[in-house]
Amino acid sequence: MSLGDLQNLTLLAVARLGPGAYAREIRRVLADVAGREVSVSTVFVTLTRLEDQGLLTSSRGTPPERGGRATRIFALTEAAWQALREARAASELMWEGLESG
Amino acid sequence: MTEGGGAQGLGPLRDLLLAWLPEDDWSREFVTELEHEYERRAERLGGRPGGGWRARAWHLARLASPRTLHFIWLMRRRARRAHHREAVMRGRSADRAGVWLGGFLQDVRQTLRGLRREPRFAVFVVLTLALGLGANSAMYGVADRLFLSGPPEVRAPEELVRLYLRLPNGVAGQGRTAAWIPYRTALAIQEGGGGFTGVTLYRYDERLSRAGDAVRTLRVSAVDGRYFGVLGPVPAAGRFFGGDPTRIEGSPAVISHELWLDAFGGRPGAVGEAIELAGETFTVVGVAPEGFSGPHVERVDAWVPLVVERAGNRNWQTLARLPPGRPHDAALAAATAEADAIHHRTDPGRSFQWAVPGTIIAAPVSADDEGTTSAEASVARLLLAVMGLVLLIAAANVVNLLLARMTRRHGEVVVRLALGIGRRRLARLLLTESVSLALLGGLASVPVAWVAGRVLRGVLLPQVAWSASPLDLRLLAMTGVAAVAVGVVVGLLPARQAGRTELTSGLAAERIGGGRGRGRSQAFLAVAQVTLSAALLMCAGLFLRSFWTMRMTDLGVEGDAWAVTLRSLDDDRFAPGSDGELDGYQRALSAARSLDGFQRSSLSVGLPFLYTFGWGVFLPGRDSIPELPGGGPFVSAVSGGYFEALGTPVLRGNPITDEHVVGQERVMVVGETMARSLWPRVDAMGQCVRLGGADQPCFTVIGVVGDAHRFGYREPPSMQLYVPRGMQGNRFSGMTMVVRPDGAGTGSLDRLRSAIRTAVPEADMVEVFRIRSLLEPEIRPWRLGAVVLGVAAGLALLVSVIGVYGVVSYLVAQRRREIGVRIALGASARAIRVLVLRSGTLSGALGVGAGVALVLAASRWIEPLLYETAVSDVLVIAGVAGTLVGAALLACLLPARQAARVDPVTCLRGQG
Repeated sequence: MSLGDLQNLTLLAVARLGPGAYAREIRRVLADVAGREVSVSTVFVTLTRLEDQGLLTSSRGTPPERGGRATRIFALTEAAWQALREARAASELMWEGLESG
Repeated sequence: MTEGGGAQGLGPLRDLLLAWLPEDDWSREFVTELEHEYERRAERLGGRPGGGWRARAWHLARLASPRTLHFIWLMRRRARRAHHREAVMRGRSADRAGVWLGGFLQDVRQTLRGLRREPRFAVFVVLTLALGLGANSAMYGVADRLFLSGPPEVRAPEELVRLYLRLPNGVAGQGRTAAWIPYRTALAIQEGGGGFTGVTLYRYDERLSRAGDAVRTLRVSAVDGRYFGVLGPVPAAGRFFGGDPTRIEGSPAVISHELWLDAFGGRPGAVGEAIELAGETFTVVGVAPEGFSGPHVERVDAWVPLVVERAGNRNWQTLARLPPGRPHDAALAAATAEADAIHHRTDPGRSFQWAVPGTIIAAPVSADDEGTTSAEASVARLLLAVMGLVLLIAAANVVNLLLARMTRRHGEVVVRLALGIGRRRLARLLLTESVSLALLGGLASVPVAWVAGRVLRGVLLPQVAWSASPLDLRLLAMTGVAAVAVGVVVGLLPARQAGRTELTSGLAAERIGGGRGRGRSQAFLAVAQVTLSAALLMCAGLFLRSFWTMRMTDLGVEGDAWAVTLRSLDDDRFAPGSDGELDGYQRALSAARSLDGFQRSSLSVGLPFLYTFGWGVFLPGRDSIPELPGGGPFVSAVSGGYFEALGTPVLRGNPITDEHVVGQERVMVVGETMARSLWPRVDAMGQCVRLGGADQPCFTVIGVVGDAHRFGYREPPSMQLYVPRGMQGNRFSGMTMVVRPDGAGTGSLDRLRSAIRTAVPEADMVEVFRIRSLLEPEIRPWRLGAVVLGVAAGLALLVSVIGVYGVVSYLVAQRRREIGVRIALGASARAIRVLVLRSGTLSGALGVGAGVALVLAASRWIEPLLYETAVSDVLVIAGVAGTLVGAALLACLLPARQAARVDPVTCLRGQG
């Protein structure tokens, strides 16, 4: 399965966040790490579609911050890992011989 | 979501969003995130001027963004799939439709139970809708026949066009469009073909026919051999004649289905029998299909072939078929070229009779003789729009009734919600109710439409050949569709209101009327009803005034002046200008004058609205005479007593007498306009006028009479003159007798008729008709408009009075406590009454203002339909305002009395 750019980044964000992967944090990581400012709706659409595609699973959980409300915590499926690896391999193949330094 | 305090002001949109999202935690989290985002934004912008508004605008844009909608859609799809999975697990997926239908039937049963509980409400709603829908169906049926669908039994009527000759110089230099085309010109167009697939010539006349013992007048259409081929009807029996356009063997006749039933008893053997028309014998070769009346809406009894030898000096109506895709303009240009060529080939000295140069133009078959939309069709179009308004008013009234019922059923709705009925299901139940009511209304509208259709047809449009029944399957189907649409529309508002009912406050409140919102929509609907009624009343008033103005026009012909014509089956017996004619009419005149009360009788060649002749006028010492917009000079050759019999006033000098006729004196009486325009500074009396040429002998003017209209109600002034009968020589002919009985009823006219039949036994028919009745076709559209609009406005008035009554009583019920407190504090009964009356009068006044403004805004479309009446007619506006405000006051009287009778003690105790 080939991934869109935002889907790729979102899956990576979930992977980085581990057990703390809930919507608000995912959005923050996208902004802080990848430099991608995206709207709430966009994040929710992407997460929903990834879940529908079987790349994410979700469960109800409590975020680590104090007083936080119950939210949906996301985790990668095996298929997601597979897709991420394929995307990375494809990307690296394309980069081969291009690096000047 | 109550925690989003910062999101105040976004309530409705956020609620809408929530309403769309399925109820699960992921959706809730989405909304929370949106609000969180908004709060952060608001905090950041908080310090700046206008920051709050900017944050709000930003948030609104986010809420309405495509991404947000995408998310909603995704979540709804998810919910649907989950629901479906669940259904499959339970093994019921296959009969989702069955479940739905079961629920629907349950709703219908519940509706019927509810309506039985409130029969008065049900009957009222059904009746209101029946009137609204029925009036629409009836009017639609009429409009359909007049201009919507083409003539019945005609193949592809949209391809047919009527051809007209546009003459460059009509009366007073203005161009004129004529439906009547000289034979040679029409023939040239037919032979040239142009781009048309078929061109046919036809005309109408009335011929006497003997069927059994009775002699009747039949409307006969003389047609060429292409007629039936171009129109394409299928004979009900026998065959049609035709083929070669100019040569038709024998004397075949095709009779109408009606005549076949009426005169031949519907016998199949009628084909092959003879029929006598104006002394000629024809063989019936075929029967036209039922409803067929040729290209026009007026009844036709029989069709006979045109006789080429007699066709030449007559004008013909021309109809052409132009298949789709063929260029209109090219075909017309070809026809114009043909017409032009024939004009140039014709001997110029005789050209006027044989061919006329001009442009050939086309109009739809439904157009009138001037090539414009007929007055009937224009009025029918307006009436169709008006019926739409009536339905709208009826619907508004039903909405009001449903809302009022919702108020009564508030408790029931709350309990249902508490027991777990879904809001969607509740809305469906309410919609089922309103659609069922509307369908019942549609059913009840069928007899209404039938009766209204009969009245419209028979009384107001008698000249049109109608198909058998005012209702057909198509009309019934349309009524059904309209009923369902009305049901859905009127159910929407109550369903929305029910969906908004708050469960907790609803259960807590002992009696809540549904809040201010519902009262507001009711008041708005009431004002809307009054507005539409005011618009209708005003249209009705304007039409009534047009009709009245028309009726009151001084025609120079009294309403009780009658014309008598002698007719015989043998065309030659009373042929115009013959001795037989003069002899017969003279005997008829003596017979009339010897009767009591018929002294005011006279003979005339040339009569207003029937026959009009022109004669060139030359004045000694002048090159020309002024041309008037009304044309002329028009001349009648009359016996003594003519002006008295017609009711035309003699203004100066003397009228023409029998002595002038006997002595064949060269005297003349002129109309007022002629006297004024020919001799503006000198007296017309004694002047010399030469007729027909400057070398002709003088006629001496002996009197001046009032102008008489020659053609109809709407005509500009024209020059008119009268000479003693016989002085016209053989320039024009065609005699009529005119009588004006002394205060007599129709019974004495029968006396006159039988006296004339005795005196002139060779007349097969003595026709006696009111001269003004010849103008019936002209006045008919206005009468149609005035009557139908009057009835519609009356209905609308009634419905809106009930609407205002409903709203005001509702408001009184709402304000019961306030009124109780006022009374307890010492308000007089009168003050309370004024309080209530004021609210009703206010909605009345608002509605009148809006309605009048509506009509004034539409004056561009309405004014052309009126006769010498301005849309801003003060009398009409004042009448409408007075009627409606009075009606609104009347509607408030009962609630006002109830309000004044409120007992403060009960009222205040109820509050505690």
